[in-house]
Amino acid sequence: MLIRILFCMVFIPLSFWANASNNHENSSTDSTEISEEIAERSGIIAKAASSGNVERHIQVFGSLRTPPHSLAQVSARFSGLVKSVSVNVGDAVEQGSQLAMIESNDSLQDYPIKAPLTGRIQERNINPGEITGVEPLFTIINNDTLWAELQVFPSQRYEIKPGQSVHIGHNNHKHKGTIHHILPGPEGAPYVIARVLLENNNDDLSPGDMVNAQINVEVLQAEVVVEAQALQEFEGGTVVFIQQGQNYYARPVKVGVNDGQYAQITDGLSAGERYVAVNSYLVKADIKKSGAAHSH
Amino acid sequence: MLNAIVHFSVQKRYWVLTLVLALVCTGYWSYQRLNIDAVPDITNVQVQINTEAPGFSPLEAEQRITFIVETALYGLPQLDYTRSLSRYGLSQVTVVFEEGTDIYHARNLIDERLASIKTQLPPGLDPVMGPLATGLGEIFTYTLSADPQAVQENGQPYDAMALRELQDWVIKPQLAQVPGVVEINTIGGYDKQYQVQPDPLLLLQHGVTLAQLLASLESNNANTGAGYIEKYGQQFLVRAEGQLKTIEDIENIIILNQDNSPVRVKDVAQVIIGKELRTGAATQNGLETVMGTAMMLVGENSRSIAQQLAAKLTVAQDSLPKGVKAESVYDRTTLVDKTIKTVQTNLLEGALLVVVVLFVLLGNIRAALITAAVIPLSMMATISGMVQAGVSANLMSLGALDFGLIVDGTVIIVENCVRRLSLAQRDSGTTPQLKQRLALVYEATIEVVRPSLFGVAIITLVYLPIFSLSGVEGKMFHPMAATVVMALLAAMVISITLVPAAVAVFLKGKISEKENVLIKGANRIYVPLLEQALKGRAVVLALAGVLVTTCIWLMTTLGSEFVPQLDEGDIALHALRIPGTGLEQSIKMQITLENRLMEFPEVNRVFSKIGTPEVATDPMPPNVADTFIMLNPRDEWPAPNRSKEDLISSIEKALQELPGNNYEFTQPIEMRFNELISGVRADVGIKIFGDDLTVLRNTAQRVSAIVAETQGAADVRVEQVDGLPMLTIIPKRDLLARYGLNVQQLQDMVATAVGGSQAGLIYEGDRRFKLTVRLSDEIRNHLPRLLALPIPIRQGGYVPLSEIAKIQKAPAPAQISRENGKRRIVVTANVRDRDLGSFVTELKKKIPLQAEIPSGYWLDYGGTFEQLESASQRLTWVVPLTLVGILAILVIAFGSLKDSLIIFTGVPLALTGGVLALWFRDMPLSISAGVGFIALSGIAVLNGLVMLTFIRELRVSGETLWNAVVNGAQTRLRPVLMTALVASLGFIPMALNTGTGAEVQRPLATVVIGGIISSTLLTLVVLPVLYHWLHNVKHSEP
Repeated sequence: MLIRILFCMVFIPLSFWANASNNHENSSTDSTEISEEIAERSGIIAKAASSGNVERHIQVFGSLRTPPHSLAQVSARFSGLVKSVSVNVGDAVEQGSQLAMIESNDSLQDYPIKAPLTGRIQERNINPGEITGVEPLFTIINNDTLWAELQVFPSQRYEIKPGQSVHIGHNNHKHKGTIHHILPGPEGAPYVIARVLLENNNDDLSPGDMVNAQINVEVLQAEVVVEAQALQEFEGGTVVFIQQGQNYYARPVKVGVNDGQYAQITDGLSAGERYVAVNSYLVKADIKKSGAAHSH
Repeated sequence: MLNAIVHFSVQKRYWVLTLVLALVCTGYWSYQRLNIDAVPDITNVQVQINTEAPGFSPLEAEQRITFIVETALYGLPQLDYTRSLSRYGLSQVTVVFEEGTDIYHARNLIDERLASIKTQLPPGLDPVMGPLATGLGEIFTYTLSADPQAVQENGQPYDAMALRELQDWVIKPQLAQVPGVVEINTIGGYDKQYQVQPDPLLLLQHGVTLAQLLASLESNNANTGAGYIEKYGQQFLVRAEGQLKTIEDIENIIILNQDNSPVRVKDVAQVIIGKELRTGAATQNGLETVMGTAMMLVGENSRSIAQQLAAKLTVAQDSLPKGVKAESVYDRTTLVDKTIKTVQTNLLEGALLVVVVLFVLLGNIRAALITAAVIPLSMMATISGMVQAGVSANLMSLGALDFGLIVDGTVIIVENCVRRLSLAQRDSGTTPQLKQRLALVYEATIEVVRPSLFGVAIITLVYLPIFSLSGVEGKMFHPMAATVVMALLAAMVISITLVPAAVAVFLKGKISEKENVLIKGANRIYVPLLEQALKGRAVVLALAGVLVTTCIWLMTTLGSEFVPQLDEGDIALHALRIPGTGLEQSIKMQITLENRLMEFPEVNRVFSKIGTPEVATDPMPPNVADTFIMLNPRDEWPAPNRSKEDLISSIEKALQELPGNNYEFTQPIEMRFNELISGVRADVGIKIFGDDLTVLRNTAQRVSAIVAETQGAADVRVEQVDGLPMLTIIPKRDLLARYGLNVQQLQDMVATAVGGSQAGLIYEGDRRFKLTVRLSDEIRNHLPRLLALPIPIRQGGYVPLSEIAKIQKAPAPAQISRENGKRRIVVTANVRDRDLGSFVTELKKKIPLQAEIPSGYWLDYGGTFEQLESASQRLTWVVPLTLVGILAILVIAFGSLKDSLIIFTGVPLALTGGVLALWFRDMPLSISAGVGFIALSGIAVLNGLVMLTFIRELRVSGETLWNAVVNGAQTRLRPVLMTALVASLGFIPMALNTGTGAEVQRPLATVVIGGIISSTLLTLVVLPVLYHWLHNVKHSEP
């Protein structure tokens, strides 16, 4: 009798205790049910899939340059004595306006030096009384338009085409432009240069500044678009979660272009279906929660 | 010897009585030193070695830290095993030593080993041993919260970072000083950091590299002592100052000169006070908070330390700014006080009942008081013994104390003394002289002392199997068995020394032993009943046999529970999310959960720890939250009688509705124990050891398929190792070469950009904060921008990250577990409808044949079947040995095997009542109930012993068998009834108690009450019948 008791005390309970401690079910379902109230409380928001635009960007860096046609170095045609200089560094000049008066050594005639383009005097190398030589007297620069020279590295090169629109970021300002043309980089450089013409309307751009740029390499009119945050990795693939009343289930989808905000769905979802746009992770977590175990 | 002791006690009675004073003093002194805790400490002897490795992925943490630490520990003396865990940013090696290892010595040895591997670890990483605490160590938790109106000096409201700063630099230093506190562990909030967030574009513009930025920060932030100079006899210390103090200081550091103009930090970066990349967070009642947990040094008194901490926290509160509140949210004192109260109430009520019962039955208040006094006295002695033996007082050890048993020996002695004294008075008609009285007391004591001593010896012996339990069960029940045995021994010693002395001193004058109505009535019923039984013995014996058989069958139908659930009063739960859940997401889900919990009117407060605290005592991933639910006092509940089980099930139901969480309900201390002990909790665990994680996983899958096919297998699972989504940046080496970069430059860039690099410390008085360089979250969290990150190259210019590295998104091991220095994966299974032994044997045969274990990989079998095996091995010889021992004692007592066996039959008969009582109250068979059975067998044997001794004595004096049986049984009616009533009435408060600790005591009390009823009836009826029958046969045969 005593043996019996002691054995009962030890054996039956031991096995019972062991059994009780491990009876999680391992389910491989891919749907779940969440009541409306709980969904609202948890911030789960479903939206209908619709058509829309998806833009794909490439992020590159580059620097600003003055276009060659906006830079003029003015020299005296005939060497001679500088009689007067009418502009100074920093002055704005109109095309054709007089910059200086030179007395030619050959004809001893005065002739004016005129501005070949509208711009600003960047350099002035002469003063009245000096004798001019072949060296430039003035440098005039026009920064109304600048070139952004974007460096595009090999892995991105094939996606870049002239005419693509570009958002240039400079000192926390955005500028819009388009790729004008693509040129090889300087000798030995691993990149090509994509040039974008930029209007310097506010005079805040200056040559030499570094800029970053987002090139819109693809603008797509997609039939089915979802918010990018709706996409979740699920059992080795990408899914969105479909909402039907209180039921939510995982739907494997093929994702086309994803611009970080919206994603094009090429297969698996049709427009008008309601998918979980916000807090989709919660739905994923709920479906897979039976697998959430705590091992120390 | 025995006679000498009793003789001495009676003769030097006053001297002996003064010993009471000594006993009380010792008891009181010991009580001050007694370790009081709520539950027994079941932690094994272990040391955790944590190495924080910021930014290390599980794979790197394992390869570069865990492996080295583990290897260093090989061959430590008394090492049981090591296990390890490599997680993001953390390597934890747990070293488990054999039981009884001196923890201080073990830590010393480990320290020595760790010192020798410092050079092999990656620079800057330091393995640290976890706090010297056990599973009972987390005794006090507090949180910080701020009034939303309160503002900091800079006008901002107190956010989690500001609160963390207060915790780290105001509260923690004060609390850490409380003696006995080994660690204040912080979780929640953000460590304040001075962050330099460079803009990649501006870096390019000015031609500054991240390395240059880091170097300039490092080399512009130090004070140097430069000795001293003497001037006009006075000594001046020289000091070159250069420490950075403010954000402006940092901003104005010059990195380099570009075209003769300096490039300052502010030209290329933003300097802000930013947030660390934290690994853990804390929430309270739906808000983020900062939480501190005080850990108690192993072996300290949790109650007094928790009290001191609470007092210190109140003091610390005064030093906090206005509007910030530090509140204690978990205080072990509450639980310990409740435990003490339960024990006190039971003792007090029990003692009162004992006095009443004795008074009613003996009709002598003095005798009753003497007997009752044994309870507190033996308690005192037990407490002293516990302190000496290092046994802590808790629900288990004190809860099973059984004063019915304690006073039994005394009851028998006192009863006999009273009987003899009153007889003598009746015979002589006068009160006896002192000398005569002393002789009477001596004789009366000697008459019954032997059986009662044997009884105690037997009960002690019955506890032996409990001492043979090992592991967790052993830790749980050893203190209980030790305490009970100590209490019994103390009571025994008192019963033969103090009790006779007290009787001799106080029972003078007229002994008013009134054969009261009860006893007279009982006698009137008992004698005819006994005579009838003796005549119809076949019926009586058959009935007894049927009863025993029925009860054996009934016992097999009872549910069973091995380790009783000690109710801690509060609820704890793990909220589990899928692996890979981010910390911020986890916090959001936790806040929803807490808000839901707060809607319960029973809930007073909810607080949670998410992820890993500062000191990784419990390295949880961010997808796990330890949630603590503190309940209101019951009288504030809408239905104060609602059971806790009911509350938990409705909480669980409500929480199940919340999406994305899985739950495991437990209790705060229990949770901590599970974290520390953590082994395979299934019946069978097949561990596969090897190198390659993929091979391990595939092998495990094959093994699990084989296990699942095996008959009897249930719940077969493979340990989950995958599941952490990882972004791997793989350098394209040929392209790196083209740009003149090497892999390390790339890695450093990525590490600084994403994880951040420390560039020094900023001091604000005592407070020190890290100065780090990291990209802003806008870039870090935005993959396309991260990929476009420009990496400066040697030729000048840059190359985007995407050009020289590939990015791969793939699930990776969330954690790597190792055991005894090797990677392992576990396949677990439970066994249903089949015996464990044959199941394991079959697996051991099948798996090596069919699972194609690759070479270099090996198997090990573990799980609870191991414990079962060892327990059954031990019990197969301990239990028979115990039985033989009991029988031997009985034979020594009687010199007759037959009589001993007759007494032995009392045991199963007594147990029937216990089984029936359990069945009536629908209680499972548990160790507590088992202890009740042990007590019962003791009482049964004791009663049988005493009764048989009397019958034999009567027969020796020449009575016929019949007369001897009837008269002997009748004489013993009163003491048998008394012990029965004392024990059963004394246990009634216990049986009905619902306070803390009641779950341990209730089954015990139930068994004893039920068993005593049956035992009394059977001792009084069946035993004499058996005796008569067996001895009659013997006489009639020749």
